[in-house]
Amino acid sequence: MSAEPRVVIVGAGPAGANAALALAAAGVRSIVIDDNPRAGGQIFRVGPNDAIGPVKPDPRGVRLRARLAERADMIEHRAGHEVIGATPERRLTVAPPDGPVVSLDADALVIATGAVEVSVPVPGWTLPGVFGLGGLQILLKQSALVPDRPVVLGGTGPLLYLVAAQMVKTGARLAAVVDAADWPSPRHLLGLAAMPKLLRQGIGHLLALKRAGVPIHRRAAIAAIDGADGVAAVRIARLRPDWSAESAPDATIACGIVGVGFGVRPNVELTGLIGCAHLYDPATGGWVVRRDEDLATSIPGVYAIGDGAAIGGVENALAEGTIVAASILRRLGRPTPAGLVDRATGARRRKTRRTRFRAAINGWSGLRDGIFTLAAFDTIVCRCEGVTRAAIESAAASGFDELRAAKLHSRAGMGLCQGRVCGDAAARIVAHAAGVAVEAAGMPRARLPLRPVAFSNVAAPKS
Amino acid sequence: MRHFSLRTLLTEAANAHQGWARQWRAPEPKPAYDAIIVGGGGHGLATAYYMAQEHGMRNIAVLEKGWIGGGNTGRNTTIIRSNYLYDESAAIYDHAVKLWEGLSQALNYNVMYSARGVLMLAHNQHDVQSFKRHVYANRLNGVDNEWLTPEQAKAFCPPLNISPDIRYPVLGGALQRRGGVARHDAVAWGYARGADALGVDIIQNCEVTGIVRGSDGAVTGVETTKGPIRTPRIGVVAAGHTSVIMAMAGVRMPLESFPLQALVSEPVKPVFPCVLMSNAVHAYISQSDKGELVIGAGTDQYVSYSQQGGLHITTHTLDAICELFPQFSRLRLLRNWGGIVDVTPDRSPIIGRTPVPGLFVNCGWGTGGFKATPGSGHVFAWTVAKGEPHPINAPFTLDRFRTGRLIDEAAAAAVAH
Repeated sequence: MSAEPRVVIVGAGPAGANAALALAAAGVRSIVIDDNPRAGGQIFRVGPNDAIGPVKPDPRGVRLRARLAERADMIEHRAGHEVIGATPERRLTVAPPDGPVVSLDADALVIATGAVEVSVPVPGWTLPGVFGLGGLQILLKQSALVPDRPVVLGGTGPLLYLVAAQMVKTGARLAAVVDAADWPSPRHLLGLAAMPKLLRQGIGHLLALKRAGVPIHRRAAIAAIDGADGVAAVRIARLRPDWSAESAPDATIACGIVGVGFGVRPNVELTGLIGCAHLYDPATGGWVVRRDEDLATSIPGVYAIGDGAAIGGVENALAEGTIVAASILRRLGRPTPAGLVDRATGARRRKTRRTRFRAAINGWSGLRDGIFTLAAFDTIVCRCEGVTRAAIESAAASGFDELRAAKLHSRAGMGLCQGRVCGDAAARIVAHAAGVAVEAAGMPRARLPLRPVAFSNVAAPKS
Repeated sequence: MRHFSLRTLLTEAANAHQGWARQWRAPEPKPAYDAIIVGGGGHGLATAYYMAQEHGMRNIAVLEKGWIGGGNTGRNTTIIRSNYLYDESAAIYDHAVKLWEGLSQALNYNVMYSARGVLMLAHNQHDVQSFKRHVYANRLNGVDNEWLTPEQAKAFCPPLNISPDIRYPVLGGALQRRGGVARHDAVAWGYARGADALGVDIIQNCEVTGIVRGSDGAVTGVETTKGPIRTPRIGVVAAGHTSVIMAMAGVRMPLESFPLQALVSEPVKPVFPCVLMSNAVHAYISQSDKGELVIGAGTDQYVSYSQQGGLHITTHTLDAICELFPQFSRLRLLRNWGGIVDVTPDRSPIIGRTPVPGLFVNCGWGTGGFKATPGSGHVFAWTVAKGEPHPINAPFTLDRFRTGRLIDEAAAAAVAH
């Protein structure tokens, strides 16, 4: 054992990777654990080889991976490893791609687990052929799979238009885009202009859709998905200002693939398991990690950065990677290189602009609770355990009016994914039935292991 | 209270299950009660239920710092059995098993008690001798328990690996056919609903922060996070946190609290017909009605109030499970959690009076509390209501650690932990 402090970073997306690079530049080694085969997170996701695939890799991602490879002397990147547990004492349980789980103690732990999609159950959403927008993107970017049948994309937010533009670009037949939000108002556009490059990109996506002649339905949602063995068509409903359906679905669009995404929220499974304090902030994704100026959580030595702490986008994630590196150097009593201090200060300063941009995105396309009333009473909400909306509502009506109590009573969220998919919807349904705000229903919580792991990989290895 | 029946179920099914009402109230505390039970787990709720049902005490409250059934009641592996060595233990656990048998009907709440048989494996000569001793002792007490050869054990539990060359070879087993499992949450909910219908106030999110005593030393009330409440009688049923509550009254308890872990696999079709225990290696396994294999581990070696145990304990248990059931080794671990168990030096519970007048305690169930829930609540209700122990819990005094009249299940092989 060396006396060198051990820094462990969970997540090799822009936030985690940038933190590791900044630490390496200051002479501090780190271990970066990530469940993907290659670094870059969802935003810079690529296939096994940068040269193939229908989507050109993001040059920032290419650069990030090259820099990580250059600093392999200081950064141990454990690709394909899953962190399945963690304690407040910063002891991680890690499942390698194959083989027994291991324990790993960290002197400083950085959680950069990124975002997860918010899923909205509607009748038919469990049919084969229905994907999250992020899921479609993974297939496109990592596995080079372009849909071979007509696609309808629904939901809201920037990701909807990004994925739509990627579909058009890669030659998929995009039958329609269904956006729950209206056009951004002039006020929102002014806010979006805080990040001119991103605004330009967004307009570019819109123009690409226009050129391809893709119809865009606004203030509307995919209210039902029809089909017997797979998706055959979607039905569109107009939305009220709270995003509940104005009337029964009218327009029907034939398609074979559906992608739906209502924005993203921080993946707070790990911070929740450790017991970090969280707070409810709809502007940055709902349940977010409580952090101080140094991006430290309420648990000593545990930091949370990037979209895994609070939704802020890729620029913010990169910046927080720099800031957290400076915080960790201070904690370890190491000198902070002057360049890093400057960059951290600059990153903090630019935060105001990012915040204005996020507020505009949120004002334009932020999730509204009415969307969760699209599920019919017999629509399955928890797909792992087959729990319907009615079952969750009747649990809440029977007095199990907090999420964890409703979970025990109805079993929603007790399956393989531990509520990662249905947690948002289940919390809203419980809160609505109990007549309380969604934050009063409590934060969805997962238990060890965060991903299922084979018994034989937990049992002691045989000699 | 709405009576649950096939008729109500069909009515509600026709109504898309929209008509179910709250199963118990959510009252604010009154200024005073005739008695207060501290702890809203299965034991505490059962105590309140029987106090109201059998002793007519309706002006009582159960105070729970979290949510009911959220402690060890909702964290155990639901094993029910009564084949303990000593007369005193056999009496109280068998009292519980008899109540389990009619509990769903008594509470009008399906606690899913399933007497599928509990098989305790012997892995060495000491196990064999000691389990046979248990079988004979149990029979003298009228408690069913029988010895099975390895082949008979395999016939009773077909997934079991009885090959002689494994690290923990199966040399036989003691089977209690009346043993089994129940749905742990439903036990808390059933007692809560029953107690509430009899007028008991169940107050959640209400932590006891102090015990108030009069000039004569007797209790006069409690301080809570929801304000002070007056009462002449307090029953403390707080499992792992009992020592903390009792310290508020100046009573030091002979208890140590350890984390104890359990886990479930992903759900699979019915593959496991019974409950199987392997005390030598700390592996306890059954299958839930949902299909998950429910597996219990041993306690951590060190005291702690953490509801997470060490990974090496789980590793040790799954090691044994994979050897006894090689076919389960590719099953995936779905959830793993811990509870805090309060353990006495002789591994038997403490149920009775304390040196403080008006203060009663029910604790020290170690790792075996769930199975005792109805019996424990039943005799403790008697104790709090009458101010003196029921004959069944009379030997389980706090005083025994001073007098030396221990009920030493710790020294017996199939220990009560």
